[in-house]
Amino acid sequence: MASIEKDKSYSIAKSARLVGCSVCQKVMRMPVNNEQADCTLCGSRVFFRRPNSISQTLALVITGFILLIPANVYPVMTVLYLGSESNDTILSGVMSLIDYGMYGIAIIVFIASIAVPVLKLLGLLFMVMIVKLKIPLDKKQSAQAYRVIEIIGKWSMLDLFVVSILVTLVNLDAIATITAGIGATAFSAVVVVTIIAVHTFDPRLIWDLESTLSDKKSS
Amino acid sequence: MTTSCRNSQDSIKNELIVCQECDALITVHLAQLREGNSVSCPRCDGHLIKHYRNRLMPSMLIALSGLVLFYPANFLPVMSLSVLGNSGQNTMVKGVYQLAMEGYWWMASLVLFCSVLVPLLKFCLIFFITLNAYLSTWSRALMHALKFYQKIEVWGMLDVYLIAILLSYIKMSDMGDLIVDVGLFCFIVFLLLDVLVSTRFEPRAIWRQMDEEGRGWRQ
Ligand SMILES: [Zn+2]
Ligand SMILES: [Zn+2]
Repeated sequence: MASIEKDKSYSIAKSARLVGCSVCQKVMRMPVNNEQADCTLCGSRVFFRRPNSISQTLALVITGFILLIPANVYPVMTVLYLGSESNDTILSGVMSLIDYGMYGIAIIVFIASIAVPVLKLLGLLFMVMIVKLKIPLDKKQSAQAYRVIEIIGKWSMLDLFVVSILVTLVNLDAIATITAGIGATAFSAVVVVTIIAVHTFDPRLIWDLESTLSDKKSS
Repeated sequence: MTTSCRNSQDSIKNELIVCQECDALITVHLAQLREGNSVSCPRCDGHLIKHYRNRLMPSMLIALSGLVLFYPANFLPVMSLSVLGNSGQNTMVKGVYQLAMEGYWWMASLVLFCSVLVPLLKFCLIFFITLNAYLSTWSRALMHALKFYQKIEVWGMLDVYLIAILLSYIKMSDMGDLIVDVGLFCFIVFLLLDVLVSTRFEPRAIWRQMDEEGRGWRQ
């Protein structure tokens, strides 16, 4: 790691009317009376803060929670084995894995398909609350939490990939067939909505609280 | 309009970077960066710079090998299952096709996008970008390619897909004869190349190089 002077007070780009492009990292001076401009290097739109970040994230999080209902109520796949048909929802899939004694996979599927999407939506909701209600939490830890949410997001695609593999693998006419279910469509929508929601949230808003709090203390 | 806040003298020694996660203004010493160190933000621990310069040739070769492996990794059978004489085979692309045939268009396109298209596009774009950067042809097309790469990067999910293959294998292993096929090995190599090139390749270093060459969006 390259060493950087670690002084406690950092100068904030926005206060200096500077802005860093999120795409190419170029640092620019924001034109007077403007909150956004076009990057001189890459042409992307640059903002001090992403406009409507909180309301957009909140809207996506609520959509995600609503979509979680059909994703868990409807079957993600239907198994037809030697004439008997069974519909698997995400939760019943985990349950049957436990019944078969496959605890390892049961835990993995539970984490990827149930824990990750729910925690991600709750986490984002919490981030929005922190900003909205100005909850004085440790900023470094909140930033860490946001990064974790960002990284784990894609792992909820796991069960959908499993379904896409099983529909071709178990395609044995009379003996056994596995087909996808409506729940899978709802679930894939949850995944997409949560991934977009992470990127509409502007983490700088959390750190802005710190500067406003310390401003109040000093004044 | 907008002006760069860096002057040419300073850029030899230091570079001013705005952290995208906390908006802190950070001065980075380029001398240390040149040795290949990565830099994190001292305020929020967010990642600032992965590499100062790309080693173009290795990335180009990795991307090229990825493109060569694309066909076998996606079209050769990954595994096959046979029960009482009937057998089903899985390839990456067949899973998507089967889902689309069953009418799950939305889910089929999502799986196609995340596990087939994005990895393919990533290799194509990296090859194009590194080739152009190597030949020092700074064109508008290169800028578009860089921006497109940075947009789709988060949707690549080959690692998740590998775990999905593993889960399906364990899940189906007592159903019948499950045979791992040559496609799986191609897929694993394909995945390793993808991970390797994603960690090596830093699009922002190309932007920085273009900036130093005096290139900009309007030229
Ligand atoms: Zn830019
Ligand atoms: Zn930071």
